[in-house]
Amino acid sequence: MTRAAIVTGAARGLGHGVAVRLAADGWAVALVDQSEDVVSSAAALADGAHVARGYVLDVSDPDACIATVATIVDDLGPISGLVNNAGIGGPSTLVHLTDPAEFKRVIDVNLLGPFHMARAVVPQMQSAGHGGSIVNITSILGQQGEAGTGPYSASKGGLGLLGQTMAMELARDSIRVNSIAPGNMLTVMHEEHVQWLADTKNISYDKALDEVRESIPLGRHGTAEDIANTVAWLLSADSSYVTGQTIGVNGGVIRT
Amino acid sequence: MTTGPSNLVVTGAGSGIGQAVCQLAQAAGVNVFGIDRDAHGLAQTQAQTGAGIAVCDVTDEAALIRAMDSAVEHFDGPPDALVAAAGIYRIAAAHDISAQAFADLLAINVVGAFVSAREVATRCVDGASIVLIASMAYEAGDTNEPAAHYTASKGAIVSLTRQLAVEWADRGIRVNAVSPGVIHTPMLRLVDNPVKAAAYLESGVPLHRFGTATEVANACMFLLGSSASYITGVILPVDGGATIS
Repeated sequence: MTRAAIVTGAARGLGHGVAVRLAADGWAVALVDQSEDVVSSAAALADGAHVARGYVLDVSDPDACIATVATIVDDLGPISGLVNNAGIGGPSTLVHLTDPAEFKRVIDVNLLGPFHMARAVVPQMQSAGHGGSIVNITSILGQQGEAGTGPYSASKGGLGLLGQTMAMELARDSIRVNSIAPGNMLTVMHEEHVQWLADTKNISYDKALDEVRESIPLGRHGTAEDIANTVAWLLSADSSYVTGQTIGVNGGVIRT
Repeated sequence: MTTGPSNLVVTGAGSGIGQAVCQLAQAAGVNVFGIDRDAHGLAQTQAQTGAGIAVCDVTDEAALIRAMDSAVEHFDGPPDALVAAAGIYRIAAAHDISAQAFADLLAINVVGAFVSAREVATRCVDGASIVLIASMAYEAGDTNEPAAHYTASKGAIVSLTRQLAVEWADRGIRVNAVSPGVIHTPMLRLVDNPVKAAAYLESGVPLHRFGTATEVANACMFLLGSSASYITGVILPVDGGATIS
């Protein structure tokens, strides 16, 4: 039986890398993104061997999450995997100088988005009765705060605990919930953070990037493939006794 | 797409988690060399998997070094992976644990793991992946099965994992730990009392069942392979959610 999985934030970057890997593993993949590019991204992935479809959705819209998940189930069948990857970086302002509307937007997408997706997906997983696996993409900044990351850190720290709570609530249904906490991935979001570091320290972008790299024990930035490999494992039966956990994929920069 | 290690050394290979690792690794086409002080269990592992073996007590440093040399000979090359699963579990109230008993347990669970890791790191050429075995015991105390020396030994494994991860990262050596919960192995004492076991699984383990040695071994294999190439210094619980409950 083909298994179906949803990956949010899948038009580009980490989410797209995850979708590519899951399709290669034989999952029917629903790529979800607020960008309309997700439709062509999914079409490019779908071929005779891979099942993939794109869906335009803003995960901060609870009603739209319900409607889109219903469409996905009609198209691809029961969902047994959900990867909550959609997220935004948010402002780099100090917390007490942050615009409340900007703070709220980060929470709406990064924390409430996975909540809305859970409301849409979990009842369907429960009624299908085959269990499931939910993976939340959090962040090293959800494990350890850093100046200039207030809303983002708060949203990701909250998402980690939301995942633990759901793991406890859903264990009896054999639905496992875990988090992956990436650190220093070379994504657009990280590039923006490096630019902020460069501006703050009044050094060049390349120098700031080098400084970050030198701080990583494994000596390199992470890739979408690094995250996709861990997602693939957490969605597979090989991790059948793992629930409620956060796995750091960060090159050893913090050790949890 | 993703690859496992080539030459894997497993300590504690004669039973439980270590034996399960040997089985999975052999099925995945990895060359395996098993070490255990239990010759009978080790022979069983060898019969099941065709692994090379050395009967050796990990507390005997010289013997362990010789066993690692035998592994290199068996592989006809350096090791690139280790699962240090040798360990013992003893239940005892703290006031009944002598200094000698405490030291003896640390010698197996901590020093044995350290020397195993050191000897693999000394011999590997282009990096390696090392997995140590912690335990959910490191996270919290337990009055039902008191084991101060065991708990302390697993706390030490966690610290050791983090230290070796940063110290050896520039050589491309990754060091992680798997932290098992209540796993159905010969070490498990909870099964001696089925009523207590059922009550514990009901209240203490969200997935409401024991884990299997294979499930722990699967986590070891994940961390050993290229899928985990950006993961180092991590403690990965395989406990059915027990440590968040």
